Amino acid sequence: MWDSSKSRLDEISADADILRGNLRMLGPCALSNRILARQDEACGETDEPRVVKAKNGKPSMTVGGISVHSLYDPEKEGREWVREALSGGDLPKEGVLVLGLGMGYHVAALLSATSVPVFVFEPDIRRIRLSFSFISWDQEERWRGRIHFLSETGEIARLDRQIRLLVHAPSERSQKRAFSDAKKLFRSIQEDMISSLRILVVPPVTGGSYPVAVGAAHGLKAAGHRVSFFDASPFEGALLAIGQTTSLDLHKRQLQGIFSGFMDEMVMARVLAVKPDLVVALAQAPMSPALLSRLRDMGYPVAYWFVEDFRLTTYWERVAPLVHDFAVIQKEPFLSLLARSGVRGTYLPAAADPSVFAPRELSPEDRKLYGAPVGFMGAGYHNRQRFLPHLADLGLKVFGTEWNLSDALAAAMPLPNRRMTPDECARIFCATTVNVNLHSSVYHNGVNPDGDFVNPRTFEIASCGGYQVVDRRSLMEELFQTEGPDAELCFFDSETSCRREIRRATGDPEGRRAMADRARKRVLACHTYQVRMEEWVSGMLERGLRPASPALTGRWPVEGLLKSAGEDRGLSDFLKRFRPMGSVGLDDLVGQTLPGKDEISPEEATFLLMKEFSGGP
Amino acid sequence: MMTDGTGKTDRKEGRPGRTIVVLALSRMGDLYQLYPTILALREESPDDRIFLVIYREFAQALEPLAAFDGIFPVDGASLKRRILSGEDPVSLYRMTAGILGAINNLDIDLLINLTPNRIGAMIGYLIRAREKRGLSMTRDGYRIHQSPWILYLSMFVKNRLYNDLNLVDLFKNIAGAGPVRDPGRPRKELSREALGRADDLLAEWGISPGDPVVAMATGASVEIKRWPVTSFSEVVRDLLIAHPRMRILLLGSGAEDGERNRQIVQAVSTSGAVAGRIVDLTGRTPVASLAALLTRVDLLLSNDTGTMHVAAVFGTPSVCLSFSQLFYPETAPVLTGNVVVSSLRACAPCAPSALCNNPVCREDLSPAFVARVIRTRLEAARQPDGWSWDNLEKGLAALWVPSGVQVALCRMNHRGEAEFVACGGQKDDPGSILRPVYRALWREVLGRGQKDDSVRIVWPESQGGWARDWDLSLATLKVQAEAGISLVRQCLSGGRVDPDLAFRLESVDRVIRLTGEVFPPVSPLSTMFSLEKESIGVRDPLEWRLLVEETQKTYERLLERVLWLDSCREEGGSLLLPGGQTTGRCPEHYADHPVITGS
Repeated sequence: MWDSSKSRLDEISADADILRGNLRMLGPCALSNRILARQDEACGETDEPRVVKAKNGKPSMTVGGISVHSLYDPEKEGREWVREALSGGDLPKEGVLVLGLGMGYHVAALLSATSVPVFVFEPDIRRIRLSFSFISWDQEERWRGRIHFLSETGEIARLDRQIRLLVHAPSERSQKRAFSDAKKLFRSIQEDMISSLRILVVPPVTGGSYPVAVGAAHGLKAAGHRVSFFDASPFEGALLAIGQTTSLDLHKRQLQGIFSGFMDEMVMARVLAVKPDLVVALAQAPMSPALLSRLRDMGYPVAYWFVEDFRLTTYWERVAPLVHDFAVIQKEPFLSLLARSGVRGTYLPAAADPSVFAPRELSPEDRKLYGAPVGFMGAGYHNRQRFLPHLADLGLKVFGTEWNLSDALAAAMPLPNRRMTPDECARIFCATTVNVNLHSSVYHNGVNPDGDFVNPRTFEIASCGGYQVVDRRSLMEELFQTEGPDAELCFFDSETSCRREIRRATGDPEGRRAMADRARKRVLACHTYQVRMEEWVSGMLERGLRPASPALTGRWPVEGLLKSAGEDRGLSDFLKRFRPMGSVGLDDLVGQTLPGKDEISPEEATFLLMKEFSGGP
Repeated sequence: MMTDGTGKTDRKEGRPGRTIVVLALSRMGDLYQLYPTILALREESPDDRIFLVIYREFAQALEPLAAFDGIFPVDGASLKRRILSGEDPVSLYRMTAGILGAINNLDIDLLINLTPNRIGAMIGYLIRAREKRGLSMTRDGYRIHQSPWILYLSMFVKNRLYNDLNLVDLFKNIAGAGPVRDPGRPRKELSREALGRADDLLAEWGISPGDPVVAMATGASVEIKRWPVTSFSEVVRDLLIAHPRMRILLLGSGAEDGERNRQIVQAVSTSGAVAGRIVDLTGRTPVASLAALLTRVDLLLSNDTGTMHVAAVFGTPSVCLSFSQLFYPETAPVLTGNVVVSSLRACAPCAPSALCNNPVCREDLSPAFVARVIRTRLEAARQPDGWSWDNLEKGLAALWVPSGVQVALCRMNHRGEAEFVACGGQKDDPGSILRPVYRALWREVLGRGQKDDSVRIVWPESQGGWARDWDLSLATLKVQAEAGISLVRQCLSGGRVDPDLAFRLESVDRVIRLTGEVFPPVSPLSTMFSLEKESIGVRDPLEWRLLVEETQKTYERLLERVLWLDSCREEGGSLLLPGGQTTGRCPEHYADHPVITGS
């Protein structure tokens, strides 16, 4: 299997000829481009893979100090892996999908032991590059034409559902997330499950739920759904103008009613244009009960994420019964109250969007503007106005809106009452030594001793790799490790304990960094919007949510299209990749064909041509 | 002649010659402007089989033409309707693939793609041919120009003020066709039946052979392209009064044309002297009959319509009214002796997508002057040549040309290309000064080294600012082209494309683009540079050295063109170009460029 004349294994160095030969076998395509361009951006999940010499002189691979292959005899290990894999019975003629390439010993052994097509999914381009530098995949006559490399999860959708799945466990250990996504997609193909819905996200016109809506849209997209975003923010000025136009409540209510009706029609227009399988609405979304009723009658399911405190805002009583699914950030007694109204509430805590909230290098100017020994970012709620002055002597900086500038905090605000963008918030979290996170309250003078839900800021600071001290919440324990040496967050219950924790953390940079790292890992693994959305949508699918009917959307069931395609192999292969979507329209069929990726097949080009005839993108 | 997708015609299989497919999904006027190309191809290789792919709605319009072997009609409107109605994608796919399959069944030797948009690029990709000329798509989905002249077409769409090449000739260049030796062939090929029907129609209105007849195409696709009803009415009245035997035919189709022509008839008929000599033929001249009818008239007065191109193909002289979006050098009807009357407004021509709500350029063309032009043209031979063309030019030049108006007369130069010679009125702008210069440049660099007479750039003394900006812009382009060459050489010597070098190259390209945007007279150079870079057809990442070498050529070509233009300065030599040498004219020829062929 080794081209010993070309690879200098003793020195464990890559051979450019072998790499070139493998790339020639692949031909010009997205994968060979990525390998050559050294585009490793998608490999952030794992450490840099390294080639090490095994005891028998063959190259082996380690990732983060853990071996992906045997360090004694990786070839023998590969053969044993195949023996075990084949013990499950004959392989289907359609072939096998192997998750994990590593150096490729197990794949080579599989190719030698069988005659079926072998599809190898390896999301880490660096590992493919290393394997391609040592193993000549084009060398063995009987391998030729049978080995196919996939590096993007979506490519799995093209495979035949009869294919058997084999997992290279050592590779999976270091790429859990990517392998989980791949397995989920493969399972959805085998079980004819829907894993990609067309979803319309409706945010509020303004307010704290808006960035949550943006994060939810990113999360849904990352989870493989086709997402449209109804951006209501351009209407913020109109909404504010209503309040500024008159002080007469009657007039205000009339104007707000007209505005609400206008926004209802805007949302409806978008719904009719997108024809979504699911509408995801965030708290305060401009959707009146009348609109929700209309959508329900028309057959458009609405999933509503109520990221509010049910005790403070009570419109949930009118909204919850009208929607398909109602998700909340609190548990009891809220879930029981909903149940009493006949609504099955879904507990769905807040989360972070790591595409925005991530560690970043800051310029000296940013550090100067946003950085401080102690920082707070948030709106000037009553309890915060009262609490934060107690920290003023610790080098406090405060950012956010709705602060009373006449008090002592004015001096601590470099950008008084300016609304900060999510990107600016991330800069603040990264630049600040100790981020104070105090959940809002309109009643208490400081910490709410009975607070339950966890605010998005907790996850966002952690996602940035920032260090935070946060007031204790009853639902915090099930989201983070809160006690012991592996604690991920530091808590306070009062001004006094807050000052104490800030002082302690300030003097312990190592401890601070370690805790922030643990918190970030926790968020990336468990508390991203992608995780939340996958959990939410899969729950709805399990409870019977299905893509909207072709009569409603103009989209056609893929299985029906596959039947119509009949013996046309090229068309069938093209359509198969859309099976996880359940139903497709022309937009979906051309949506994945992008310039600069792989060779555009005649089928792809023909659908692109049809799209152009219909009036273009 | 329509194949309806079968590809079968009366021509027999197995005969010698190539199979040529011309993809022309465009409007009727464009199809008639394309026809000289078909004639030239037919003359060059009579054994070739030539097929057209056109929109179904124009298939009937090509009925009078006979130099091709078949038509593949594409029903784009129906396809659009069915897609938008939500019909199932597999059925629609089958229909689309069926059309393409039928075309591919022809076993095509040469595809000439003259559809300059995304639809054209995709069909260009999907049609299999041993050689492709025109627009297509790379295998990974980027637009590619498979002929330097299709690059030129894309370039001039963005720089039309600096283009002097008529579409008729541009189509021929893209197709690689030479001049037409027998332009009278379409007229000779008209059927007796068609001519008889035209004679019958004229006789129906009491028009006898020998009666002077002027036809008028008073419509156009949009309102701002239509000369006002009152203007047409005045010209009609003027002509009928001046020529007691003259008859006027009003052409058109549809309700709008009908209403307009009715108003013209009504306006003119109030004058007893001319009543009865104006005939409204709205709706009675489908294109198949129109061609025959036009051969029986002495002159056509026309807005920017397809009719003027039909007239040109069948040898009927025209006076063409040029305003709003029509820019006569590129789209006026090509026939020796055709006259164009155009507005010299600073804003003319409108941008192709503009919707001007104050089209004062229409008013510049006074009816009295247009009538004088028509009378002058009628006095000359139907096909003026030699001295008779000179006399016509003198006659037009002797007219008192109102300010704000230009008259241009068409002739064929020694290459068989159309030229519109100004006989009166001349716009004093960079476009007028640079058009002949660019024409010579592009012919030399794109036309396989065809050299023209020397051209000089003479900036008017009153417009010193242009000369200064021109020099400065050329100097900037020269510096950037040299910087690009230097950076690419560093890539080659370093053996890899360093990200920093790539970033610096992007900066160079940005300055080149910006220079063209800031001073549009040099935009043809910067646009062509960008298009050439976009069209580098090296896709295999293992072929990076070839990719870099092709990239280097784009900068070298830009530099050579800058030096060529700099050598055209009136004084000679370089005033402002820093650091380099003006080596005289040393254009890079496409003859040495690798030929890109299709699958």
